[in-house]
Amino acid sequence: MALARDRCICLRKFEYSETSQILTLFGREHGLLRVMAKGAHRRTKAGASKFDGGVDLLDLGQAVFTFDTARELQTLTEWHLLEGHLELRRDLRSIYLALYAAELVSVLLEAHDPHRELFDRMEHTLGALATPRREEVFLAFELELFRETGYLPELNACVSCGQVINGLPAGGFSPSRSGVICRNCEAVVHDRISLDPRLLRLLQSLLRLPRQQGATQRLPQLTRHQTDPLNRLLATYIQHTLGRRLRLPDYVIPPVQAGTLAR
Amino acid sequence: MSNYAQSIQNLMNELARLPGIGMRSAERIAFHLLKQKPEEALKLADAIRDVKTRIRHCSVCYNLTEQDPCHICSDPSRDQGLVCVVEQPKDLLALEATGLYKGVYHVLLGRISPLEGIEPADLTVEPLMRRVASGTVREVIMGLNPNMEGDGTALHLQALLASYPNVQVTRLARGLPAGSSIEYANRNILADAIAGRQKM
Repeated sequence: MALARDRCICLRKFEYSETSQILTLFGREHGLLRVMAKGAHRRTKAGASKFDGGVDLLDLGQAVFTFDTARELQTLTEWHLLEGHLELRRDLRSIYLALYAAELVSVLLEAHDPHRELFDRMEHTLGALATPRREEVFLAFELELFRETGYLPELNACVSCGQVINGLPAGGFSPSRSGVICRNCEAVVHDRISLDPRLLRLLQSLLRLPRQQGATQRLPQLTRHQTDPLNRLLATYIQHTLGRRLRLPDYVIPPVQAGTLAR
Repeated sequence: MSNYAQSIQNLMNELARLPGIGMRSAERIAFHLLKQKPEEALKLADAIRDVKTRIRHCSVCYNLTEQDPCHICSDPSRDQGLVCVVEQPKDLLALEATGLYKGVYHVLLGRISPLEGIEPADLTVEPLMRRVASGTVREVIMGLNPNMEGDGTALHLQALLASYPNVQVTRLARGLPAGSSIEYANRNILADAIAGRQKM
């Protein structure tokens, strides 16, 4: 079987046995892949290993693997670690944001569907999550991921009547209708989440920012007072859309009282 | 449909549920047991019964033990103020095998793994905090695996322990394993080794 080579990020790992792992990798040229790394933890006495001692979550590496789209599980034959994100591991918030990014990518992408720009964006984001600008970096990545995978909700016009919201205060956000609703339509939409107009304008402006080499340019500095409600809104929306509960939002987004989801 | 008698098939099915044992190995082990004298073969059954009825978690450190507290927690020569936190009893055994550590342990019985749905409440974090709150602990050593989830768990515990200013929080040293070769070390190991270099 033909061997493929790709730059990959490890999104999930499962310790299959004492020495072997099953991994979900995000490859730049191959998209999502599930691979079996047989003997991943095995080393010679001198420390040599075909897998650099085993693959860890969020590791970036050069992978060599069998590639057959007809098979659900490929075989990883080689892994060379390029970046292990040691800086990220020094802060719990950074770890949880990075794992949330990995969870979102693993559920929003289809297997074997490459997204090169998104890969570059994720590689850049994982590095930047270790910096004090992690909150805005994560939010910008989340929006980019939604846009790239076609899950970006409508944020500029009412999803009920089509009226442009830009400049006008919104009546709220509807997860079931995937977007904002105007004041006139708020009474007929029952799953409405209130949304501060300033936060909506912030989301709209983030989506308009120029992008270059895997990063959003001129990203404004944001506080958690701004990003927490937006992350909560987007998490509620994407969980509703996917019809499944994600695990990391509970770690990343502080709980709030009922009825104030995005205030 | 198998041609084996039901009892042999049952034994093979149970053996095949063990890690690393497939149906072929299960078949081989089953026939080995069949060939043995009854008293020899039943020793295995007795050993399994014993381990499941006698072994429990130590009420102090959550190590596996037959007596409660375990022999480490009840050893008066051990430093009760020095607690090494490990993920699994196997990790405790590895540290004990060095013969160098004279403190006591706390076994978390796992690590926080958000992607797998393992939360702090699934571990023995609360008993650790109660132990620290009792005032006998002066240092907690993080002996968790040096990977993303292990580091995350250590940071979570560190945040909880911050409310006890008299308790020092340390972690096991990282870097090159003794007997290894620099050329085979990955960049994480080398980065840790450089950051944690020591004066000679």
